[in-house]
Amino acid sequence: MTTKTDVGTMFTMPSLGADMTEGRITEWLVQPGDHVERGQIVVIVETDKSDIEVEVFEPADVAELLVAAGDLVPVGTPIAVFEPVDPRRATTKHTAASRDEAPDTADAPSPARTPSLAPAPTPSPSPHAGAAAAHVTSPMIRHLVDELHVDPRRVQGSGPGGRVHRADVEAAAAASRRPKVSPRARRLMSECGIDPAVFDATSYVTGDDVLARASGPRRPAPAVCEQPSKADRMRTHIAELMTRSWAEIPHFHLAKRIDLGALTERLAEANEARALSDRVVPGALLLCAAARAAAMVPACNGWWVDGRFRPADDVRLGVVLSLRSGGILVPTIDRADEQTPFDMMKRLSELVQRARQGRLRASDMGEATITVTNLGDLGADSVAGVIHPPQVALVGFGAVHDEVSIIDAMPAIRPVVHASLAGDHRAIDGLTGSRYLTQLQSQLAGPLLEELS
Amino acid sequence: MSTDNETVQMTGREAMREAMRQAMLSDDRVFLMGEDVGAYGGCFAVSAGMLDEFGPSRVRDTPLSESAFVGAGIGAAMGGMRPIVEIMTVNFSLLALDQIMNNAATLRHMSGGQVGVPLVIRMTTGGGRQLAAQHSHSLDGWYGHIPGLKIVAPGTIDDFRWMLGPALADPDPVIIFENGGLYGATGEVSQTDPGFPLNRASVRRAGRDLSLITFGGTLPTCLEAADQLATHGVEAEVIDLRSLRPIDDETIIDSISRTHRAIVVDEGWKSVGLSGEIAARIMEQAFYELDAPVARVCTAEIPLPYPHHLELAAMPSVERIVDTAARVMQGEAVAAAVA
Repeated sequence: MTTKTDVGTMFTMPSLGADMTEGRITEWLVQPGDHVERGQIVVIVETDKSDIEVEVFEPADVAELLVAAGDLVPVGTPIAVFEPVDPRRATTKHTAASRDEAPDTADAPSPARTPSLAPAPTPSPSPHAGAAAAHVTSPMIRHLVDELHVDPRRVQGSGPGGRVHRADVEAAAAASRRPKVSPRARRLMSECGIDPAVFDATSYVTGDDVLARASGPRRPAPAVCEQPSKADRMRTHIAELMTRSWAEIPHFHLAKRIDLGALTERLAEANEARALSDRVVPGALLLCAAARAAAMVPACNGWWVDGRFRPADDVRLGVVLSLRSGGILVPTIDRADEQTPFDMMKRLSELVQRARQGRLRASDMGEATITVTNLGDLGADSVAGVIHPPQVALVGFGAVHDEVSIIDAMPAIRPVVHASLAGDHRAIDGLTGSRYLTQLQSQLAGPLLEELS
Repeated sequence: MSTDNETVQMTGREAMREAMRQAMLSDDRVFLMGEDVGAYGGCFAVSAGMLDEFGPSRVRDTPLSESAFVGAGIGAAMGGMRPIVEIMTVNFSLLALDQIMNNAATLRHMSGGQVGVPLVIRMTTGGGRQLAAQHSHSLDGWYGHIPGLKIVAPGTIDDFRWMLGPALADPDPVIIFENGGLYGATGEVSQTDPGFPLNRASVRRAGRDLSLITFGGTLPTCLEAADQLATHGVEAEVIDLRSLRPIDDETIIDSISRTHRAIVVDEGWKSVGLSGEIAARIMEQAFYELDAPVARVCTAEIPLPYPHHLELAAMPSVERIVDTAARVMQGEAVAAAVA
């Protein structure tokens, strides 16, 4: 995403997925003159699928921003000029001083940022509250803040040293009271991008009130506000991709039932010793196994491009995540075959959290070499998937559930998972696909089992 | 309704009589039966003179047993006839409910499509005529609950004249609910079949501010309320459902997508009734078009009183509709207390 020129390094609109052709700058997190560290998030880009945080990979000084926030530009368009700097100088020079107004971006690289994305559960220092640093939050105050849906940063403490009293919270709640808004008005506000706060808190807001704000005259043609929502665009994107896949790719489907008895037992033991937040779910093991099997059977790991199969050098695993609001995202995990189950679990939790916040990063959106869809505990027993082009295979897992198995010539009740492979018959055949599923099974029975101990 | 169609003035009972006469003249399979439909000319004089014109084999007086003569009608329909069975008032139909619900509504299903019941049942419905608690019901919504039946309710004299034809042509049982108050009302009737589909609602008055959704006996009430509202600058659209099963969602949702407010006016009781069904469909399909909660004007939750002033006070009135409309237009949540 960077190219060297005489004036500096051109920072270009990155391709955040094979099918991305253009992106909209949602927000710049840096200004000309700022210094950026490796891994620092500098810009948020909106694609058809999600808002994505884009990091830089080398330390640099920001010379110039070429594209303003809100603009839509094709992939590859220069969007900023960076001056490369000597890495040694960069690490000694501390840069946060000039960035008070956006403390988030001045933080150290990625990992430390994650907590700051979550909504603040308790009052925290912010420019909105004068003596906010002195907040004292008794359980009663915290409960009240929660109950009245008050933004804690907007509560002004009136007690000694900014101590917050009950009345302060109630005053903040009264100040932030919102007007009654009809369902239609709520929809139109969202479609027209109008903030409910512009309306008098004691009024009853109807759709016509919103339209009057939006364009002046009463009862205008509703078309002025009819822009496709983000969810609609995601749906359109999925529709196009899946239609293309189904039309172009001659799919075949294979399935294998895999006994998880030993693995779930070992997993329970391993989890017992770990803190609740560090525990590993079976889904992470399935991802590990799918990635390792892809490394063992490289014919399934790559892309069908221009009429022939191009194998990938390493395994970048696409992981299908369903959003609560509908639709799916498919972020990727680099070198997924090299991850331990515990690393994989950590990576998966981060991805899920960021995907749900609609804030995936550029490094989450690499070009996958093979994709996994895991229906999870509440899902169906098995899945016959649709391949994400230009990949040649999609691995599916149903819910882990109990079935009757034959063990030592006796019926036994065992936890099993139905693993499936959707294959592109132009690139691979049934035998290759079967080998993949067999490898997957041996990974779950052997190496992964040992790593859990 | 086509514009080149000449109209004549008729009462509701004349319109239905003419509909039955024409059906019997044009199709030998059609006959009328029920209590007092022959010699007496019908309890509400709808079939007056028809015994003389068509004779006792086609205008048949029956014993006072609804279960027996509705059952006979079902048998005749299965045997290839096209019977019109008149039940004097809706309360008496409860005696024939087993025949209607367990035979007429189910036989096509139970026979795997081999046997249909092309039967038309007409019955008088509604209050306001001092017939007291046992003869003033509005159970149209009850019957609308039952798959296998089609339920229609004419609210205009034109529909009294022209709904019977498509009902008889339908291969399955159709019940026509005739509001007793409309038998004596006068209205314009098209001289040739306007050809309006039986299952479609009709916008009887166009408006931009509010949709009044109703049918049958409360249609004239709503039209009068809409006229009064117009003098206050509120243009109400009036939708005549016409068909209660199936319900024409499209016309309702289309109207609300333009007016963004709705009041359902139903002479039935509010609890667990048709008005709740309509409101739920609006919520399911047009919630984000609404600028106010859907309101309902229904009959008070009591057996209808005999004294006329109490009876009228219990039923939906122009005054209550206008009052409710005023609150809906102000965007106030209409309290459940509007009984």
